[in-house]
Amino acid sequence: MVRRFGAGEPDGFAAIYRRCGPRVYRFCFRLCGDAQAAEDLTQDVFVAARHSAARFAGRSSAATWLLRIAVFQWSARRRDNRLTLVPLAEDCQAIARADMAQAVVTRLSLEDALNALPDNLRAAFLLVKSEQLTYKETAGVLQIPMGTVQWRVAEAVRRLRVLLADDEENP
Amino acid sequence: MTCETVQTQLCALSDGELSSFSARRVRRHLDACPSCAAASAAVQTLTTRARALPERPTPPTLEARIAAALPPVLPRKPTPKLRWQPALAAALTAAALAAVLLLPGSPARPLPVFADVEKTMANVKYVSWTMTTHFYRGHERVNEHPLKAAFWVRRNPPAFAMRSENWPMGASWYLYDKRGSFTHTPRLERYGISYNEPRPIAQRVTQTIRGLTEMPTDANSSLKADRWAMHATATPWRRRQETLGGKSVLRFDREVVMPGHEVRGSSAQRRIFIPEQRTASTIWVDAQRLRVVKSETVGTRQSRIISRSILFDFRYDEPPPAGVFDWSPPKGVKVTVSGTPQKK
Repeated sequence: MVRRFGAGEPDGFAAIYRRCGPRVYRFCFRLCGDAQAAEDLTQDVFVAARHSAARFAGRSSAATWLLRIAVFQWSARRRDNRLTLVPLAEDCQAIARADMAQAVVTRLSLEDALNALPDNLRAAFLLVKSEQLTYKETAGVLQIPMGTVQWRVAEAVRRLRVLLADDEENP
Repeated sequence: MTCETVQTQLCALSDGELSSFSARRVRRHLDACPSCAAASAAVQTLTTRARALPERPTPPTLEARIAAALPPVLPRKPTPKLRWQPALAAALTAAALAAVLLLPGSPARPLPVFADVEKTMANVKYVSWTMTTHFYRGHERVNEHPLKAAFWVRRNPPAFAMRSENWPMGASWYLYDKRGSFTHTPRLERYGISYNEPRPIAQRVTQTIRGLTEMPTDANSSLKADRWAMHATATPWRRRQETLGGKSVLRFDREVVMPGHEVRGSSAQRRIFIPEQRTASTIWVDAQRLRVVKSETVGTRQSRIISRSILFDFRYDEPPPAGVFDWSPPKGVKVTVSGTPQKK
């Protein structure tokens, strides 16, 4: 499937998209927490996958390989955003728009709480708990040791329990 | 088994990642310890909730949008097993198709990759440009007037010169040739020679991290630097078409991160810490001639200080003013030498 996609065969993209597209989009949505960004990220994933399809060795499933590209592309975007110089005036408006009080009063959903996690914890948590990859597969996707995956997932769970403390008490 | 140890393993237990031996030990502890059992139930609840997160249906237009954005794949060459007549016909068709695809301005032509730009840049005889640099702390600009420097590069014999009137060390003069680089800092009355490895012209323009003599090509690369091996992570070049000053250009973007690391100083005991450097580079390239026309680099150089350098006014194959590349330290002055000469 990946080989046909990389070779540009007419139904190559349709086949891989039908099989993995919804899962990649869902994962991107949970990473970004926003539909528009998720669509952009999903597009970047398939474009990058076309470029690197020749290097796909078949050691993981096509879906796991695409998730790995998604994490890489997402980290690149985050780095890019961090280095963007925002003019001061726009920054103030952005802060004014974010209704902080409202965010505190509203009871957090799990998706909101996930957005409050640091990037590395969120990616590990989503891959293990939501995409149900094994720790070994997650270590391959994130390019980190398995022990680090275990720590990140445990730390993400600990922080989520704190954030969702109200929910746990009044489910 | 202590409660603390058990708490760190609850998550792995709920994910089925503990060995049967460890899982048995943890379960035995949970049977005897109500607080850990409650924590285990909470972790299990969270796991169930994460698996039941609401489905996000794929937008119906997404497939078509991605299909339109996918880069085209060039047709493969015909196999040589064919008899000569069909082979000739196939070759002619492929040649005609390639001619259409490769014609400048053809909408069917695939966008060039950055390696094509590097190839073109490696063939220019001379190139010169101007660079301005601003520094920011947060959103506040630190230097009122930008640092400004002029650069010249000659391909053969290789030479590189930089002149600036307001460089931080005072007006400085920098010349690189096959022997090494000379620097003259009049304010400090200092002349220096350091022996560096030569760099291709394209890297002079795209260079984003000080000290590196090559730029990473893969996501993870160990790199050669002036004196030390360094490790950097880079994103692949992203490209898109734009217009710049009314002309069609290709825009390439990438980010490079070099983690902070310690290196050995001049004496064995002395350790120097090189802080993490992050840079984001954008390079605009003439879409027809594949030559760099503008370059911008934003990066962290010191903690909390962000530098923004813009390279512009690129001139190609114009011989530089006389004397730019002819300079050697005056006789009788003390010259600081660093690095080691290159082996021929």
